[in-house]
Amino acid sequence: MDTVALGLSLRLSLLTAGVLLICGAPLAWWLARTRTRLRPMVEALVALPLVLPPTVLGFYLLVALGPGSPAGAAWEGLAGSPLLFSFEGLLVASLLYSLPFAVQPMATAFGQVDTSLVEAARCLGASETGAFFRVVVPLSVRGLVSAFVLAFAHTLGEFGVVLMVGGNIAGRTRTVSIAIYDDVQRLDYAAAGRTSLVLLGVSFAVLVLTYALQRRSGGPWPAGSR
Amino acid sequence: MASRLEVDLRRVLPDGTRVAARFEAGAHGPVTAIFGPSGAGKTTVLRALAGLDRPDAGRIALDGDVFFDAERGVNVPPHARRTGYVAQRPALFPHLDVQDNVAFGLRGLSRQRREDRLREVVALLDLTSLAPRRVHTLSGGEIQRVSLARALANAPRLLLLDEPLSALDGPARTALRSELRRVFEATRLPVVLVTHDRDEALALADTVVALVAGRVEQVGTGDGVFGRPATLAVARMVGVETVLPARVMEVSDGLASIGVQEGGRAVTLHAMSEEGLGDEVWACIRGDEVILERPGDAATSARNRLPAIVRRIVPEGRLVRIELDAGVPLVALVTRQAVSELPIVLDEAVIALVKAPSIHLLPRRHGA
Repeated sequence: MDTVALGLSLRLSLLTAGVLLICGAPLAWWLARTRTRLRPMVEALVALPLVLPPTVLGFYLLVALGPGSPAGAAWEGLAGSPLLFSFEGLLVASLLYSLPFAVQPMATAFGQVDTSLVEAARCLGASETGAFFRVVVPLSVRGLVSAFVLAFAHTLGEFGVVLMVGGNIAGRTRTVSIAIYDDVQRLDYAAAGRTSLVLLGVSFAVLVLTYALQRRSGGPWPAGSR
Repeated sequence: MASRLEVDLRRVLPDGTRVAARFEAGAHGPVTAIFGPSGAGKTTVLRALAGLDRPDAGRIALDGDVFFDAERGVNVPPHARRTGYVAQRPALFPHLDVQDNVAFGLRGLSRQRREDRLREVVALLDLTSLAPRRVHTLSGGEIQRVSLARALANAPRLLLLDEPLSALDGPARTALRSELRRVFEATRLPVVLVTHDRDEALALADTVVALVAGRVEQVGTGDGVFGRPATLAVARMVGVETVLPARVMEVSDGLASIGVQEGGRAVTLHAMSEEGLGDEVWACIRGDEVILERPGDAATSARNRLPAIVRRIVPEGRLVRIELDAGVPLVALVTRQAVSELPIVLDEAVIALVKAPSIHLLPRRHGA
């Protein structure tokens, strides 16, 4: 079993889920409350990674993050190494790829918080941010947990995007799903089987946890963002 | 010190209802009731005062401090207005217990001041036994008291109550009503409360703002608005033809003798006594509960037998409105047949009969 790849995958998944929890929350809050006509557009953009083939997403990322692109050039100027085929590049790709898995559960949870509670907090002297952290977040804990767990699990299993923008560099971009693919290519079915079993176990445990947490507030899969 | 609240706001609601409310409050006393039927725009006005709804145009100021001014582009956010807002649907924080709900607005105070404040409101509203309870275990009346305590703990400059009694019925309602009166008198805070209930407005408010279909039709004291409606819309809305300020003189066997003084003359009426009324009351008489008969000495079971002069006869649909001078003004609603058969003639004498249970007594605030 490729423990280096497993460790890298775990690190990537934890980082992705953590960053998405923090950066996705304002977006989810906005989606849950906004009355703008642009909302369907934004919702569709957020949900795109759900339906796009990972290779398509990977292709666009390859172009957008490459050294010829403004983002890639800026990163290279700053960090001194290219963004593509690096762990950081992989992280950027994972953030986009797992975005809907974090934003949708959070938006659902935030949408279920009674507006009058937020208004009560505002009248009691809480700023908009204060009301969010003191009322909305404590009442959305389940949604936040399932956002984290789903983003984590989804990143753990990603393959196509990783292959497109990360390549297969041991210790830097070789994730566990790539390692399994490699094992199979080398006809080392025993190694592939062991790694697959670990991944299967982790995924199952994560989903059991999510469903257990969601039991009383509906399934983890929202129809829309509300 | 009397606070002065100036309100002038215009807003078109998403359903197309136009609200154009303009009034000043505080001249008659600290408590103002916005009174009107549902859909009149009462809640819109209250939410605009709290800063939760932005009016399309107008100006709102409390003691000269501008909360909202469309022309100058001022709209102070809710958390900076320091209003205590209690919504119609109670909004206690379900993730906090009663004590933490009440203390929610006390962040930023020193621990000592926070505990002092908390002790003060808990004592004021008698919440000591509720403090550690979870919110979902509270009854309707308890929820209202905790919401009120939470709003008061924050030391608001203006207390805003949206239909504070509508979620309750029967004894709980009467209990909270007297509780509110007590709190209003203890805190002397400027209060704006929204209600569609005449009893609530009369019992609690110094000033009544009659709001009909988004427009302020009348602003005045309770007896002003309910006793002498300025417009037909208000008269239709208030539904009680006679409202008289009165004083309880004597209570015996559940029967109260009340003195009514209007225009220099005093009349004594008899009504059913109720618990916890106090001395100052409103005597409310519906026109259709007043019986008219020819002068004579027929014995009657009615406790109130008032010689009166017919001052006006106004046909109102199938009924006729008879305005009487019985020492105090009194209105009777009778059928057209009764007018022609009795007969009821302008400036002639009649006897007005009112049963004691037909005189509805409501508590009246001192000085109102």
